[in-house]
Parts: sequence; C-alpha cells; structure tokens
Amino acid sequence: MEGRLERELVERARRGDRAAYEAIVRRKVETVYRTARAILGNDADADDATQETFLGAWRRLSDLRDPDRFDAWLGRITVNACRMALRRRNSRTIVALTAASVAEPMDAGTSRLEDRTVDAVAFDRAFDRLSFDQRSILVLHHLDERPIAEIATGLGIAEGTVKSRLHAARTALKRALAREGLG
Amino acid sequence: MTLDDRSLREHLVRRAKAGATDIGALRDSVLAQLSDGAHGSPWYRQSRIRSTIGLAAAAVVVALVGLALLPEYRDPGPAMSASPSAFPFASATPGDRPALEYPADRAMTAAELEELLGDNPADRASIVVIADVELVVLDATCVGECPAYLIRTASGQIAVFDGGDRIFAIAGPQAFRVRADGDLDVLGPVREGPEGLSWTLPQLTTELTKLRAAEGANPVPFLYLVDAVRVVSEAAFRCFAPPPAIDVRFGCGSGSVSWLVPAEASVSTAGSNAPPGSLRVPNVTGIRPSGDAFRQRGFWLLDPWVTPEDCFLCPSAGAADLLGRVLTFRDLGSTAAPGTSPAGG
Repeated sequence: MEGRLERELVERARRGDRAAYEAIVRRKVETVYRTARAILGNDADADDATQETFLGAWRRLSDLRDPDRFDAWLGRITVNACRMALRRRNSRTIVALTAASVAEPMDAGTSRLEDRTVDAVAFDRAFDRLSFDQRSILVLHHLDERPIAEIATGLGIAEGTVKSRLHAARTALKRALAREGLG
Repeated sequence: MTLDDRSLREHLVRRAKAGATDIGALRDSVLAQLSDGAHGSPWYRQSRIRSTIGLAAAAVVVALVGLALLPEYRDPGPAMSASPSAFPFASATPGDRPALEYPADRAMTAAELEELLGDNPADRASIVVIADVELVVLDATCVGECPAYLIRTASGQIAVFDGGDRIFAIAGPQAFRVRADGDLDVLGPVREGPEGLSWTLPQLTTELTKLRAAEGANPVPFLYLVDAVRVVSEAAFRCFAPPPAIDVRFGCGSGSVSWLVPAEASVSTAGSNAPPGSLRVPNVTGIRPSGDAFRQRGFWLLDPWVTPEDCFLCPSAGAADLLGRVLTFRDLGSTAAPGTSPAGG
C-alpha cells in the first residue's frame, strides 16, 4: 500500500503535479536531512544540502526513468548536494579545529572497558577525517540501511565497487579512530 | 575498540540526530521555495541560493585557475638569496634570539615557511619542517598527482600532498617534508610537549608508556619531536625479534639499530644491551661507526610504535620510526645544503 501510494505520488510529480511533489517532500524531508547531517556533520550544511536536494530533484524529476527507483535516485541527488555543500564550505572557510578540540588520546585501558562507550565527539572527529566518498557510502549503507544493489544503482557504480569502497571506508575509519586514541 | 556494524550504526544515528534543525521549519522552507519557483520567481534567483551558487561557481573558477597554475603555485617570495646561509632567521643569536625558538618551543609560521622555501626550494629538498599553518582542503580532480591541500601565504600558496588518508580537519603543528619543487608532503600532526613543541626523551618515553596497548603494536595518532642524542653502536645488539607488526628495520644485529638517548646522558653503546632509558629507532642511514659510537644531538621527528606488554626485551616505551631530523633556524642558515643534512641521521 505504502509503496503503491509513493509510486503514484512520484508518477504524478513527474507529470508536473506540484502538490504530489510536496507530499513527497513531507514524507522524505527528515530522511534526507538525517542523511545529509550524518555525512556533513553540521546543521548549516545539512540544511543547505536538504533544500538543494529537493529543489534539484524537482527540476530534474523528468530525468527519472523508473519511479520504483525514486529512493535510490533521490539518494544520489542527496549525496551530490552534500558534495556541493562541502565544496562551498571549503571554498569559503578553512576547515580547522582549534588546538583545544584536538583529541586527547584516551587511556588505553579506559577505551577497552566497553566497546560501545566510544566517545561521541572523538567518533565524529574520526568520521570527519574520512573522505567525502567514504563518509557517504558508510552513511548510505549503515545509517540508511540501503542494500548494496541500491547504492550501486544510485551512485552509478558496480556492486563490487560498492563492496570494495565500503571495505576501504571501514578500514579508513578504523585508522581514524586509532588516531583519536580509540584504536 | 572494534567498531561492529551495530555500534557504527548507533553512532551514525546519533550523529544524524545531533542537529538542532527544526525539521518542520526546514520542510516549510523547501515548500515555500517550490511555491515561489512556481510563481515566476525561479529558485535559483533567490538571494540565498544565488549567493550559494556564486560561491560554488567561484570555487570552480578558483580550482580551475589553481590547477592551471599548479607548476607555479608559489609566487616569487620576497627577495632573498638562494643560499641557505642567507636565511634571515638564522641571524638570530643567543643574545637576541626570539622568546620562542623553532623547533624547540614552537612550530614555524606560514610566513617563515614561505621564506624558508625561498626562490630555490631545491636547496631545501627532503628536509623536514614543522609548521603551524591552516590547510585548505583542495577538492579537485587532477591529471596525475593531485595536491590535497593548499597553504595560503602572504604572497601566494603552497601545494601540499598527502600520500595517505585524507585528514579532513586539521589544526595545530603539522610536519612536512619539502619537495624539490617547493611543494610539501604532509607527514602528520605533531603533538606538542608539556613545555614547548619538543619533548625531552624522559618526557616522551613516559608519554608513550601510557599509550602502550595490550595487544600488538599500534600506530600512535601523533608524531613527536624529541630533543635527544642519536647513538649507533658497532657492537652487535642482542634482542628478540620485534613483533611482526613492527617494521623489520627495527631489527637486531650490528649496525642495524640505533637509539635515542637523553641529551645529557653519557651512555656507552659498546655493550650488547640497549642503553637505559633509550628509545629504539631504525638506523636508516646504515651508519656503521668504527671505534667510538656515533653520537649526534638534534631534534628528531618520531612516529612511535607502542609495543605489547609481554614483549620481553622490547624497550619499555616501544620503538619509533625516525622520520627525520628537524633543523633549527641556525642549522638552516649555516648548513651548506639542507638536503645534505641527515634526514635520518
């Protein structure tokens, strides 16, 4: 039922029905924002990316060939909007942490007390060290829980490439966590 | 820590929900822009988005211009002789030296780095420097090797390459190796000591002992600058083979290993045991002294390894890779060619 309704909304939106597209926006805005927030790590860029995603998708909706792949298609637009937000940020500011915010390595004994008690701030710092593509693919797979095939479709790459990129991203994250004293 | 799928997802969910954005307001904003666009006010003409596009376009233009100028990243600096002996910071004497000395107390500034490279950066090729500069992430696609960052200076910019993983957010002192063309390779962030940029060896070994891991050798997240004496002994050094995770260059035997010892220490390296209080480093230069042990004092940039608790005969603080000797301004001004200065000894 839910899937049929969404497909119908997408079909109507493709024909220029703005009310249908607004209904899609209402249904998807939180998901898109959460994805952008996880990739970018801050509200301002995530807000921009979310707006860019929906405005850009509205303009390009006629390019969508298969309404059943709307989510994958929207995911790709979201990732591209995040990439643009990041470029804008990098072009106008120098991304730098204050000296005080650089991680103090945790005591090794403390870090092993409980695997799940990973310091959130340290995790975010480690995550921000990853490349944009690494962050994106981890978010799509582990936060949005998109299957490998859907990510491959959305990003226009082979499934094997998605798997290898996921593996590389996990390895890089592990290394970045070690830099934060969490390795 | 082993970050399993579940904990990774928990962190990502937390990160995604950490924002203070009002989702309802964001939704209304999107809908309002859609509505405006449908009434003859295209979204791309709205001031906020227009400025955004302007910034993006400017970024593209800057990136293209930057790529076009890649071979000439740095504008000619202030007039200075190509001779290292003319390096102005070298003129400081003990009587008029600045309050904070490089590299003992502080890292170089961007201006000092630019001046150091000068008109003939080849003279500085392969030296290691530590500078406290801001790295601008360069998200560009290049044909061939692409710089990862730029350092903006008063009269130009310096390209920085990163052979490893991109480090996205950086601040504080960073270590670089100079390329012959004046570009830099970033080596990593440098952790400052308790009293300045450099550490004494006892301070460092105490610090590293705290970081000792229970299993295997772990990379330490920072590089360290230590003021110490490097000693190499001709005598065969007996030790257990290092754990597999440690580079074979840390091995045992005659002339294959060297140590850093405290600056004030008078340590004989004639025996077959590691000098007390020492840190084992590889003898990358293969120096095999005859007669007296080779000794050289300096500021050494280290990438430490923490060895396992149960490694019998391992140095208590572990071992460290020796990335290079960091020359003082005085060294840089008085040596013939920094490239000939010992990077590893």
